[in-house]
Amino acid sequence: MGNQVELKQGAAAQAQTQAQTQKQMQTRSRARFNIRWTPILFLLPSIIVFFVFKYYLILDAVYISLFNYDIVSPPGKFVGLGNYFEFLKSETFWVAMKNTFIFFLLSVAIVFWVPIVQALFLSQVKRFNGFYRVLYQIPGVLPVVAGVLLWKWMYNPDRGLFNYLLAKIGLGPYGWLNDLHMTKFAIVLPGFFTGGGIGVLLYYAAIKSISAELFEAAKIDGCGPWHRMKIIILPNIKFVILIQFVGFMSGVLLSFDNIFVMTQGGPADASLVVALMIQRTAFVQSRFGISAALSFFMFIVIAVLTVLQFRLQREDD
Amino acid sequence: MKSHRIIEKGERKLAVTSYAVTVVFIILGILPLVWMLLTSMMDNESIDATTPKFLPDIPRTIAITLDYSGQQDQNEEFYRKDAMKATWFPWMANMRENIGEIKVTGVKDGHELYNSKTTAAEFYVGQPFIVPTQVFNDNVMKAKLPRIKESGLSKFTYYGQGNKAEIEKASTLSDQPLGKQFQAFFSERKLLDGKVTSLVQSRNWLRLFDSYRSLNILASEAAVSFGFYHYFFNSLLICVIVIAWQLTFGAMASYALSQLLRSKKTKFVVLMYFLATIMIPGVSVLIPQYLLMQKLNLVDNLWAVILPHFAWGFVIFLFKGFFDQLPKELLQAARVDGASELRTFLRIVIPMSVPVFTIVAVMTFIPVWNDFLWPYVVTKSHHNWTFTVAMNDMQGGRNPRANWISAGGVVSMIPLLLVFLGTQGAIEKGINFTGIKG
Repeated sequence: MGNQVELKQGAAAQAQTQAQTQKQMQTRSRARFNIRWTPILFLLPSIIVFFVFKYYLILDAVYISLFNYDIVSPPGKFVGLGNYFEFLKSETFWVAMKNTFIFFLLSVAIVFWVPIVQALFLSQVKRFNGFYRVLYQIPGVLPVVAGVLLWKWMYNPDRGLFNYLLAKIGLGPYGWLNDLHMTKFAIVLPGFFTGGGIGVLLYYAAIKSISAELFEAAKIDGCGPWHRMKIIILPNIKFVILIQFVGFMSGVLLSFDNIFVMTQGGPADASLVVALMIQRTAFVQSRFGISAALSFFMFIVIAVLTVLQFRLQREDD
Repeated sequence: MKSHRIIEKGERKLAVTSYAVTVVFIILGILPLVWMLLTSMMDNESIDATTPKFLPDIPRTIAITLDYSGQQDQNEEFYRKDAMKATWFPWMANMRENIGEIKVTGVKDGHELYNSKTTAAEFYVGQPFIVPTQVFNDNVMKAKLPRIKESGLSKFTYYGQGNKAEIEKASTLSDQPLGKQFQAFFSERKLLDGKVTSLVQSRNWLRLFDSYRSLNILASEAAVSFGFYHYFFNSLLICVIVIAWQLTFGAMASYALSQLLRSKKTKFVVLMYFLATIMIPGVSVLIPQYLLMQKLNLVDNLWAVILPHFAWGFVIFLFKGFFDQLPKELLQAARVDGASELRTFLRIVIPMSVPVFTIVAVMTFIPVWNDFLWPYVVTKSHHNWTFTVAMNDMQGGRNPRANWISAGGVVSMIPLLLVFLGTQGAIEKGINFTGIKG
C-alpha cells in the first residue's frame, strides 16, 4: 500500500514536472519564434560597418594580391601567388625588413623602457604626484606630424638647433637625417623625449595596485627601498610590461607617419620600412597587386602579435 | 618641526632620485614644446641665424610719412604704387631685420592723402612672388601691384585730396640703426615720388603672433575659404562625427553584446566578430579601402576619411568591459517595471556609464586627430585636407618657414591639451576599470 501511495505521489510529481517542462518549452519556443528585435537593431549598424570596412576589405586585399592588378580595367591578369614571390625576391623588401628590424631594436633601446622608468620613480614621488602625472601627458599631446616637423627643423644640418648646440661643446656637425647611418637613430630619438604619455599612467596604475602589505612585509624583513623596487615592483608589473611589449612591437612594425614625414624613406632607402613600401608601391608606382600582397603579409605578422597580446592579457587576468 | 618617523636607510636617497628623475624627464619632454612656442613667435632670420636667438624679440614697426606737397595731382593708383614701393622694397632689402610692420602715410598740403599698412604676416607670405629678388624699380612694382591688391597683402586706404582734416606736420627722422638704413635706402635709390618727411621706429608686441596669421593667409592663397584654420576645422569635424558614431552605435552594439544576447554561443561569436578586427591594421587595407572609396565615388570627400573610423574593435572592447560590470539586478528591475530595452539603455545605462563614454571619446579623439596616412592618400583638394596633411604639405612647399611650422604645431596641440586637462581624472579611473593594456 505504502508503495502505491508513493507511486501516486510520484506520478503527481511527474505530472507536475511535465507541466513545468511543457511551460518552459512553450516560452522557449516563443522566444525562438518571436525574434527579439532590440539586440539585433542595436548590433546591426556596427555589424554592417565592421563587415564593410574590415572583413570585406581584408578579403579584397587577398583577392587583389592574386592579380597583376589593373586599376583601369580591374582586376587585370591573374598571377596566383606571383606577387608574393615577386616581393620576396625583390631586394627592396629585404632592405625594408632589415630596416624595420633595426627600427625595432632602436625603439626598444631608446623608447620602450622610458615609461617604465618614469612610472617606477613617479610611484615614489609623494608630493605633487597628480601634477607630475599631468605634466607627463603634455608632450604626448603634440600631434605626431607636428612633432616630427619640429624635430626635422632642429635636425637641419646647416641651420638646426642641434648642430648649433653640439658645436658649442665641440661636436659635429652631424648630417642627422641626411646621414645614412644616423637617420634611423634620428627618427627614433624624439620618442625618448616625448616619453610614455598614457603608458606612464598604465604602469603607474599597475604599481599602485600592488598591495601595501607586500611592501610592509618586505620592510619588516629588512628589505631596503631600492631592493623593494627590484624584488616587489618589477616582478609584479612584469606581465603588464610583457603585454605592452607585444603592443609596442606591432606599433613599431606599423610605424609610418613619423618616418614618412621625416625622410620619406630616404636617404637611399636607409629608413624605408614595410608600411612605407606598401604606400609607395601602390600610390607612387601603381603596382596595386604587389602592394596588396605586402599588405596581407603585414596583416599576418600583426595578427600573430595581436593574438599573442590577447593571450597574455587573459593569462594576466 | 621635528619628524618622529624613523627614516629608513636609503629612503631619502631614493626619494631624492625619484624627484630628480621625474623632473628631468618632464623637462626633456616639455623642452621641445617650449622651443616650438618660442620659435612660433620669432622671425625666421633669428631662428636660422648661425647664432640662433632663444628668446623672441618684439618686432619693430616703421612708420613713414611721404609728402607730396607742391606736386601735381595724381590718381589713386599712382599713390598706391608709391606706398607699395616704400613698403616692399626697403623691407626686402632689410629682410634680415626683425620688422613687424611698415606703415606709410601720404600727405599733401597738410592733408592726409592715404595711409597703408603691411604686417610681417602678409609680407612673408607675399615676398616670394612680390619681391623675389633685390631688383627694385618702378616697373617691378607696376607689374606686382595687381597681385598685392588682389591678395589683400597690404591694407591701403585712399582719402583723396583735402578730404581729411589738416594734420600737424611732424618731421622726426629716426636715428636708430634700422631707421637709418631705411633712410639710406630711400635717398640712394630715389624710387619714391613723395618726400620722406618723417620716419619713426617703434615696437609692437602684437606682431609677435604674425606667424599664426601667416598660416591663415598662406592657406587663403591656396583658395581655402577661411585659411589654415579650415584644416583644423576639417580635422575637428571628422573627430566629432566619429566620436558621435562610437558613442551611439558602438555603445549600443556593446550593450547588446553584454546584456541583451542570451545565448552564450551567439555572444561569443558576435564578440569575436568585433574583436578579431583589431588584428587588421589600417595599412593592410589601405589599397582595397581606396578602391572601395573610388567605387563609392567618395575619393576626395571628407566622408571617405570618416567612414573607416566607424569600425573599431577597440571601442567595443572598452565598452563591453564596462557594461559587463553593470549590476544585473538594476536592469532586471527596470525590465520588470515594463521599461523597453531602449528606455532602459537611455535612462539607466547611459547615466551610469559617463566614465566609459569619456574614455571612449578621448581614445577615439587622439588617433583620429593624429591620423595622417589615410587622409593623405584619400584627399586631393585643399578644402578636404586635414591639418596633418596640410602641415606635411607646408614643409615641402615653396618656402617652408620654421616659425610657421611651429605656429601650426602650437595650434594643433590645443584641442588635445584641453581634452587631456579636462579628462585626466576620467582617464586614470578608466585605466583601472577597463584594464586597457595596449
